Amino acid sequence: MPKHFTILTEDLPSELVAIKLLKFVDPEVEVVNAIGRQGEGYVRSRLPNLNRAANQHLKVVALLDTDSLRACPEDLIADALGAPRNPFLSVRCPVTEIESWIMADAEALATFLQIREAAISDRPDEFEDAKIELRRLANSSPSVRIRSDFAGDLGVARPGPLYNPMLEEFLLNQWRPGHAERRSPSLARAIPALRALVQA
Amino acid sequence: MKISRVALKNWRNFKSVDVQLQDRQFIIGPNASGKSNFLDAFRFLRDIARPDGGGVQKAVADRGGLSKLRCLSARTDPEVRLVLELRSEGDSPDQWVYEIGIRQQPRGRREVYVSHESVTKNGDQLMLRPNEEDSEDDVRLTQSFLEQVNENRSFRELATFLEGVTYLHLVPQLLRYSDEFQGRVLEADPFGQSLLERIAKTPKKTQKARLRRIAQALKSALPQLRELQFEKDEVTGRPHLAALYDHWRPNAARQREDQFSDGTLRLIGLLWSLTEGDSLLLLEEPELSLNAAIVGRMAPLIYRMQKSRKRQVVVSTHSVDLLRDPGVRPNEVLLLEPSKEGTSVTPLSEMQDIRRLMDAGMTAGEVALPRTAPKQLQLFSF
Repeated sequence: MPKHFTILTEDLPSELVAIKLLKFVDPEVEVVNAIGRQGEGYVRSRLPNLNRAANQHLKVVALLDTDSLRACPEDLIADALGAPRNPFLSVRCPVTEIESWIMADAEALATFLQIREAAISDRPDEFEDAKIELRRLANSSPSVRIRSDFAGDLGVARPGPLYNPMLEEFLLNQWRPGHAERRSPSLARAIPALRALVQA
Repeated sequence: MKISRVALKNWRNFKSVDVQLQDRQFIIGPNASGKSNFLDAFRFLRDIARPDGGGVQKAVADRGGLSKLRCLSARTDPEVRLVLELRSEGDSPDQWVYEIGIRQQPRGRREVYVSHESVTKNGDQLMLRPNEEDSEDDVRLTQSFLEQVNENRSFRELATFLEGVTYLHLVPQLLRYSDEFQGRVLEADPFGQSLLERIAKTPKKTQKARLRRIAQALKSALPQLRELQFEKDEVTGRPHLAALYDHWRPNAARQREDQFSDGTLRLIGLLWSLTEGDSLLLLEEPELSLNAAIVGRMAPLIYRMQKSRKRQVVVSTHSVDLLRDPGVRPNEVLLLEPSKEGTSVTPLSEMQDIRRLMDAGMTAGEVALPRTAPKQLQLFSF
């Protein structure tokens, strides 16, 4: 029986994280439908539909950033679902953003950004704005390319022009869920939950 | 008449395909999966049926010879075969099946010939080739019966339908600069170059009524538009479209088609095609150069136009917006997926998980189009 999954995420980096996590949990998983790439509002608006659609043969994983340290993931999910959660659907919340999970593999990130591993926090879930922290780290890189194309001008909320493609490359080739879960409690909770869903 | 089923063997990307067609059919798939080639199967049959210099030989030659038509995945079987199942409208609809097989002589002059041709109507065979005469005189097999008025009498209805198949991939620049180009208009005018002439040739009364309907439909896209008119240039005698726009001046301002935007021209061409003729209409990526909000209205627009004119429409598209309309049914979308063994064609209604997602309120644009995105995500990260 093929292990088919549908995922719902807000952007391409989150989509890659979801695919990587599922493959890490069980290499036989196949993500057949990747829905989203249209922002966080879209994820919220479509969660009720997927909650209705999910079943034994159509398991669904959604990622929803908490965006704030004060937000309670459980309330957030209940609010977005608007109905009891379908057992074949799992919503996981990176605290506070997908960048927290990305920074949690500090060793790989240090290599990617060409910085010292010690410069990377070992508590990535505790940043109010994880994205700005990742860009701040990138801005300390000796590589001009990483500073200008990836980090961008720290004075504005907009990252460098190659932020997403470079992040995608990093996720595809370097990022390791098994290392990342040691530093991010929200990721450490997500992995067994996904494993349970794969086996459900 | 409507095409209810199409089967292709060794046709371009398709090694073997057999699908049902709906009155409104959307074709989606990755780049180079064969969307245009799928539409070309219908244009090919039209080119055979055309009375003004069509025929098998020309239809094959125009496409660069049989070796260009044959599916690369087909290794052993060299025959190209197309099958159409059609049904006529009305109280007692007739079921038609047309089938044609084409081969090339392996040696000698390597001529292209008809290896099979048949027509059935309500299960009765009206024609089957090669017949006795064909075996006495094999030159006869260089032509199909579909293209010969003497031979297609018993299935003229079918031939007329295929002749009327229209393909539209309107290129606004060709229409706008038609005076400057003065170029050769391709047969059957796929790029809408002679749209204005076609409008000019329509009887006045019909023409007016259609333009009024089009202006009405356009209003949702262009709220300033007051009226769409057709006029002849008094000096050159060339036909022109004119639009009256509401304006800050007391009298509405006039614009001719060379001042229309690409989007407006494409919309007019599209709407005109929908109101013209009753044969199959093939639209290639109608979303190009149009605003997303307008594209989002296109699926219901086609449906509404079909209410009054029972024209079957097959649309190839890459647009999430076009397929975001919640009224598009799973069987109205065909997904093309390339593989080493040729491209497969599957209605979304046969893909269980997609069907379930659509039944839960997701749209075809959301659930099926992501499947057509390039797998290699780093494609553009250079």
